[in-house]
Amino acid sequence: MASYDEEFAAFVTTSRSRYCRVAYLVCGDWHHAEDIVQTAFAHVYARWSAIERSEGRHGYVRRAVVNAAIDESRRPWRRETAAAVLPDRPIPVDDGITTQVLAALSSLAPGQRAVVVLRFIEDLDVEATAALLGISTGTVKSQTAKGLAALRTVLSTGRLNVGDVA
Amino acid sequence: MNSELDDDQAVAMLRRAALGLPATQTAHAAAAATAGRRIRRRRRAAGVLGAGTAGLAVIVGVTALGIGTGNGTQIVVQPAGPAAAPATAPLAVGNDEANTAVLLKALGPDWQVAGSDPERGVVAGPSGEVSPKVGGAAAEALPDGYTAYARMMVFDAGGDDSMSLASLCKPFAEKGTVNAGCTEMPLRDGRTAYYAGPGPADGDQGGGPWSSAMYYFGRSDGSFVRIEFAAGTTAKRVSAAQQQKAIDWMARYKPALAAAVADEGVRPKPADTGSTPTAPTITDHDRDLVRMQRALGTSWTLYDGRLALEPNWGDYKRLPALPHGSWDVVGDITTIDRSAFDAACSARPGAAACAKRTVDGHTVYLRSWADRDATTKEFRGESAAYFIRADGRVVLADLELTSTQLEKVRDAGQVDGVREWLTSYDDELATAATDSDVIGSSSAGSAS
Repeated sequence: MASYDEEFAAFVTTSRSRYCRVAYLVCGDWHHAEDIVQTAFAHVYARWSAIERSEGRHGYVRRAVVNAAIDESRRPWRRETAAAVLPDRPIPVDDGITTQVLAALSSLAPGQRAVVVLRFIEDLDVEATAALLGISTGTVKSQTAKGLAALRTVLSTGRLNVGDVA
Repeated sequence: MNSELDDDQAVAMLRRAALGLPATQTAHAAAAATAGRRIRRRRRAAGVLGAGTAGLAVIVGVTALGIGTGNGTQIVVQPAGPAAAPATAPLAVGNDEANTAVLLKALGPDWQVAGSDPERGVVAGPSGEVSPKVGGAAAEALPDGYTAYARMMVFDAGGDDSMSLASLCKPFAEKGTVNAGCTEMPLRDGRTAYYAGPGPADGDQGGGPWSSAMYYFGRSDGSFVRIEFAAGTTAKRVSAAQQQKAIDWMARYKPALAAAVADEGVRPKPADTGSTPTAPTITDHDRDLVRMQRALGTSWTLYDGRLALEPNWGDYKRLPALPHGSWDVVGDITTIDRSAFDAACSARPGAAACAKRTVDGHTVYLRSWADRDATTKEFRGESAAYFIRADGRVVLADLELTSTQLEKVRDAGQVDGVREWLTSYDDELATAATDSDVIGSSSAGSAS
């Protein structure tokens, strides 16, 4: 039987990239996405059994990550710090598509961005998305439609090759 | 302008974004676990000690709106009657009339339910605490300005290891809060209760104005009963004599409270089914680590048998800056045989020899070194103090430093900085090694 720490390490190893991606797409800042996910994992570790009994570990991390990422993108001044030297932490590879998608997502309101990411990256249904964000299913539906419309417009303007993604 | 995308194309683009993220490394899980342990420790300390100070504030008349600590612990709330099933709540004080009666019976007639005011017809306070009657013998025996309270709670950790009796009984130290660990208190009927603190150096390491003791009793269903017993004052500073007088006053009640925590009248009763709780074991090595933590100071945290430098706190900040990484420094105190000492302290090519020093009349051998691993590029270092006891055993108090860097940063000055930092602990390590209260044991052989 795996130990507590082994279970946790397996949980982090198998799910961290997924949640970093969600956080990154919602807040648009890789460093903060990493910090948000790491904080969520630390809280999961601290309450491993209790969280599993309540909403489940994945449910907890998803909720914590999305809410923190929305918060980050709403209040960017909270994360600004002066530094003499620019940090050289690893960042995601610039594949062109990511840059365009991030630019497009940044044109959406933070809540709308979270709805789009949860619906199409996390593949949550309308009810689950509404429950996670604490909004009505009607709001999820309307935000999804508006968000996709905005994404379509921005991506159509800036995309390089539609054929690559069709 | 390019042609308009449809929804499917936009979603496909969205799904292809950010797929080339940096991979997860083992260090990510380790770092999250370390941070999680710190959160858990603080929750636990806040639940045990924060509640104590809040309760004290209620007794001395300071307005307190609540005692919730938000630690998420499942505490069994007293059911309405003996036949009712235990209910659980996120956090609640499980101390009703039955448990209050057990406490009052143990403490004596000069105690009352906290907040009682017979002249105004108030017979019970909302906090579930009992306190000495004003003007009674118990209150008069306290140091000037002091008050006290006792409170009983029943815990069901629901499988949460951090809230098990074994975990709570382990020695614990963090940022000035010290729990030296439980001691067994055999009861007349053969059962065993457990007692934690206070001692002269327990409680607040900075000489705080209150002292707290815990009595525990493990039950067959995995739940346990805890009596929290505290004496203190709202004064910002108290003398050592006052503090000691309060501790002596609290010690009077030890037999009575040990019996009370295991009293058959405590409600809720344990469920009939369940296994016998594992008795908490505090090893000699655990107690030695407590002594060593005291020598090293409040920058050092003792948790679950591991003594480590608290990250981003106190002396950690004296270490050289390590961008994109973290330092890990672990302390240990053990005994080794003479041949191991001779091997460690003899001057060998490439190894640091020991320096002989006299500290408080004791001859101590000190050794410290630091370098950078040629393969992993991680930093490493050690600082050690050896003390040869009269019986020939050698007490070794040492610190081992390692680094974890997601990106290796070249900085030639850092090795010197690490070595200087390790050497700065010579006096503290010598104090630990020569501490006559250190029992001396092998860490590997005595872990509980």
